[in-house]
Amino acid sequence: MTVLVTWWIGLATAAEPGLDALLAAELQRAMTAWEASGDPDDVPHHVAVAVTDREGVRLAASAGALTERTTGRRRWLDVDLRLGTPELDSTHPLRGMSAFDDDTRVEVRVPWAGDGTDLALRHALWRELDRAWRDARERLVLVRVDQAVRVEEEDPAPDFEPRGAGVIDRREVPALAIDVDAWADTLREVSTVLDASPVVVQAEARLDASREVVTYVDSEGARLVHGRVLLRVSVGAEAVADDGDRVTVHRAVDARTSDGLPDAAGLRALAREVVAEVEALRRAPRATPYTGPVLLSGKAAAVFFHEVLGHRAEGHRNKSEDEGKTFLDHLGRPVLPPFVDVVDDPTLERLDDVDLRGWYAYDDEGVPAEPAVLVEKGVFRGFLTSRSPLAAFPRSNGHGRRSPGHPPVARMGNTLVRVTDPVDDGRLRAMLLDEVRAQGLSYGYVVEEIDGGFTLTGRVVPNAFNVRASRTVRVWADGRPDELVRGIDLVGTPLVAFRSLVAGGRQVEVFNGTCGAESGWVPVSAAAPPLLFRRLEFQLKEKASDRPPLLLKPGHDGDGTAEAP
Amino acid sequence: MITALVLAWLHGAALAAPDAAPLVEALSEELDRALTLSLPGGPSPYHVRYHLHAVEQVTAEAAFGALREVHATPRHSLGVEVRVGSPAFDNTGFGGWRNGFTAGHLGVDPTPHAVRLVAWRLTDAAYKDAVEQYARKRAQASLPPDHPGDYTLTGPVVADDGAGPPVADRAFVEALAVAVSAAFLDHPGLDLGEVHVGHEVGEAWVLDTEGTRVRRPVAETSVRAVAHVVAPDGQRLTDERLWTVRDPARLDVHALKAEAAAMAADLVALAGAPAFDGEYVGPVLFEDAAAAALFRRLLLPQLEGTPPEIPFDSFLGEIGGAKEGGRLHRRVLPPGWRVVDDPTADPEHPGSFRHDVEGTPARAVVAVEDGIVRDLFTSRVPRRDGIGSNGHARAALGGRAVGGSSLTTVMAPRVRSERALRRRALALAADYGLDHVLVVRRLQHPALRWLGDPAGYHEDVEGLPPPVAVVRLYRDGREEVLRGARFAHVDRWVLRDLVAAGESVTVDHLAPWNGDETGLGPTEGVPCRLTVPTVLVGELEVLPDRSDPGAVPRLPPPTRSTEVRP
Repeated sequence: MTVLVTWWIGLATAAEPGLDALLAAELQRAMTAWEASGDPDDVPHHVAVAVTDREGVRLAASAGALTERTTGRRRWLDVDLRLGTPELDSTHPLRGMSAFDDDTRVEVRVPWAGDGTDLALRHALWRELDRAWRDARERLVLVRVDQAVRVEEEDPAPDFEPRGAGVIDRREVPALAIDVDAWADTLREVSTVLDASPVVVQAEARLDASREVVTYVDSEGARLVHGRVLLRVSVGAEAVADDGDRVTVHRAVDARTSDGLPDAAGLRALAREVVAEVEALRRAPRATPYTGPVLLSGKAAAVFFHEVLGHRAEGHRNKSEDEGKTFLDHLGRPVLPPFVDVVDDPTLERLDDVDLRGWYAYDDEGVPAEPAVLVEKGVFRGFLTSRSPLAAFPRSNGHGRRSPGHPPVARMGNTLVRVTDPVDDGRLRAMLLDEVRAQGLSYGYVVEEIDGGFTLTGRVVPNAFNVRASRTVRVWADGRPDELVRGIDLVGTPLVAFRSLVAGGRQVEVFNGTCGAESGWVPVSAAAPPLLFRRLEFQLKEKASDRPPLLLKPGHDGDGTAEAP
Repeated sequence: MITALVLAWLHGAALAAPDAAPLVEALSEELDRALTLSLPGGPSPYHVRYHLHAVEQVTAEAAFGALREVHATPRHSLGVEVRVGSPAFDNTGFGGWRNGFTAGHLGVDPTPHAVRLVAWRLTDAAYKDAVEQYARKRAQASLPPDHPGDYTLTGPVVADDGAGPPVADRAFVEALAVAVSAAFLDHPGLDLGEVHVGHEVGEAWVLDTEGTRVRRPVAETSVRAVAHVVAPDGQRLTDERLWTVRDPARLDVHALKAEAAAMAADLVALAGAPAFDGEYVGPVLFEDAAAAALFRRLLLPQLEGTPPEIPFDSFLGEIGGAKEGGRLHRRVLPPGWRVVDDPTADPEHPGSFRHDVEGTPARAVVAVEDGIVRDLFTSRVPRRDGIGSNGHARAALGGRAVGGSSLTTVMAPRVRSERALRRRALALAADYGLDHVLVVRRLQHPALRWLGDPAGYHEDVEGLPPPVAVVRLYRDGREEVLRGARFAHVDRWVLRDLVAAGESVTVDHLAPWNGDETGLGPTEGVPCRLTVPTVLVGELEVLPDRSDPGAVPRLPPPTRSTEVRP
């Protein structure tokens, strides 16, 4: 299962002169030792070593008080080691019971300051190289047995794409420039706006800032130092409806420099919006399961494509025999209307005036990021690839990603949906109502905001998605005013859902978030215009059942004895 | 370098300790409101307690003389305990979760209003949970007719035991971790060599609806050095050193580093020692920290006086009630032995306190007289034998308070010299037809065996954990060090088989907050101290530790002299 959320937690870095040389020297020392054994199975055909260094600031305030103030730094070590040959190596997917005996790696934190740093780093690298080698040695045996015992595999592609001479590129990563005290004051003040509502039981204004520097070396000679700065301010509030439903509203702004973040006035306005919305949502009726026409806002459409198309276009999912491979057989065939293009382009730093979180220069396998065309004029054209090739896609397009402690796999960066024949917003709404009437329904839905989503891509479980709608509006065919509802999520299966896409709008919106999957949590962006679907499905969202607070909120409690309304 | 940093700490690098008084006032208002909570048909609260922790924390981790992590932050936390029903029968003392006890963070610089908000939310949730737990308990538990009740109301306790000293500078804590871990630089062949430092100062308040208002100081600095080594046959050997003090200026960094270096050197040497083979049945001499570990593991649990929870029969099976409570009048040691626990005995020790976490004044307890249990470490949970609280209640925020040890002294009726004790041990061994006696000096810390492993950090042991090493002591004074042994069939009866005692040793340890041996970080837990004599156990069975050996590193370790910089 994969998950996409709008929040994230990061600590995190700084470039260190000579770190790549230290890693390369230790790697060479290990290679020499392995080569000395004389057994080809002892010698890795590829080893990559990466140190991810993050420094970060986390500030949060609630009810006028600072609840978190963390400045810190962490550094992780990752070793990706392959024994065997590029055609068949120790990372090859296992089938049957052996599939449960998989990668044993964990997050390895390593030191970053002090006289002993060199030795401490080399010691950690020694342990990790040795562990990775031993794991690979054991796994290579299982891989070969798997080949002998089981039938021919569905996917004949090799396990690795050698690249020859590695890239050498050392980049400066901008410093993390955060005025911590000023931001603390701002967040305190903004949090009082959230707290002013008597129905808000919990609220927070927060800043998450991180600078990450990755130092990467490999046995092909790659020497990379690169990274990025990520900043996010967010406000969120929670209230409890009379039926026990806990309703939350959350808004975030992402940027790569503090100039791109809203000022105090902007944050106050955002906080007021959040409060108004959570109050309205608390009063809103719970909707019931529905199928019929649905209009997705740009953000909702962006998440929809991330979940429904993006994860299924991740290359490794089309190699594993446990995966649904929804689009593998659709290569070169239409899966969407001809007015839709989809590309994943991690090289884009901004889209219009919005900074994109899914930007990066190199992926976690040392490959330069490049755009990957997934859908062109409605026709499925390709996959996101890492250095683990597909039969028809032998080279990586720079999408091998991970968070520390995981092996990289193909992941999204900036997933962009483009509509070549857009219609105006008013026209889209009219088309929605036309569809409602044509299907003999009394209302349709517009999904304006989403919290995130998740999708299941395997074979045993239903190959379905869930887009977590956080603001959904019922639009009546008879002209009644729009009605905010709560308690439903968008669900469905990919091929059916895509078949019902009718039209797209003009105004592209960006969803910035963090995506969780088997290679960990990675920052991503998705962008899309509003999209109208002839038929989608809503299911009930989970609901809490505790009564609302029994006593009035402090500060709103008069003599302190009154019952809550 | 460390000396300079110590001076910096002493001369004003400290931050201001948080002022908790306005927060206490805000919590008092919410306590008043808490007693008005009600649900249709549900029992009302009869007692609500808040624990406020207002502390400054600095933690650091280092390995091989380099910093891996450091955090410094003010930290305010709130623990909430809601009791519904009556002291005779309430929602407590029954297994399971969501039982009316909870905790939450108050953040960095909470205002009185922000504190009230959190207290309001947590108390509301705790009350609802308490009502449900009360119903579950009423439905499932069949109490005996002489059930002594669930809680003891005592009336208000008002006391001010003061606050902790100013917090040490972050750089001091950081440098401390780095300096001690530099002891491992000469041993890069260690599989793991790291140091954890936890420093916490401030104040803790206990407030309740009876009017209790007790302020307790928080002042603790704990340093733990841990080393692992892999023997040529794959056996993993671990050892650790813990230092815990109230005043960090009392830490002699050079001495700590020297001890850590000696530990690493011993461990590396031990890896090259022969593995223990065969079986040994005979006397075992517990010296040094092993003696303290013996009493910690086998004696102290027998002196904990809070009755265990009644198990909750959940869909996951029974929860709670697994631990046996201490009993009066049971023989736990041979005749003549005495055990005293006095939380007030040494105000300089971080485990010392004048009031426990329930606000009860702490007093010295003579737990064992002439080898028989005469008193127990108790909380306010009533016992059938009528022992009331003696101020030994301990709990994590949001957890159930249970009686536990603090500063404990175990005294033997007769103390022999080291030489005489060894002579006695060898004589006893001869009765078993042995030409040597086994000596153990340290036991492996069960939680730290897993440090750095994917299995995570946990402490779970029955009987005694394995010794770091066993030493065969021969009549001619020769010692043969062996690795890879374990004790078999150990239970509390071993302590009734103490044959002789020697000079005293004093060892600190960190006890789990909740009485269970799980879930602690390397510097987390209740600081405790044990002063015990070296002891000769009449008979123990020692076997080879044949647990699954790990892999032996294939690559040679890095050396300190390798130059790799460009």
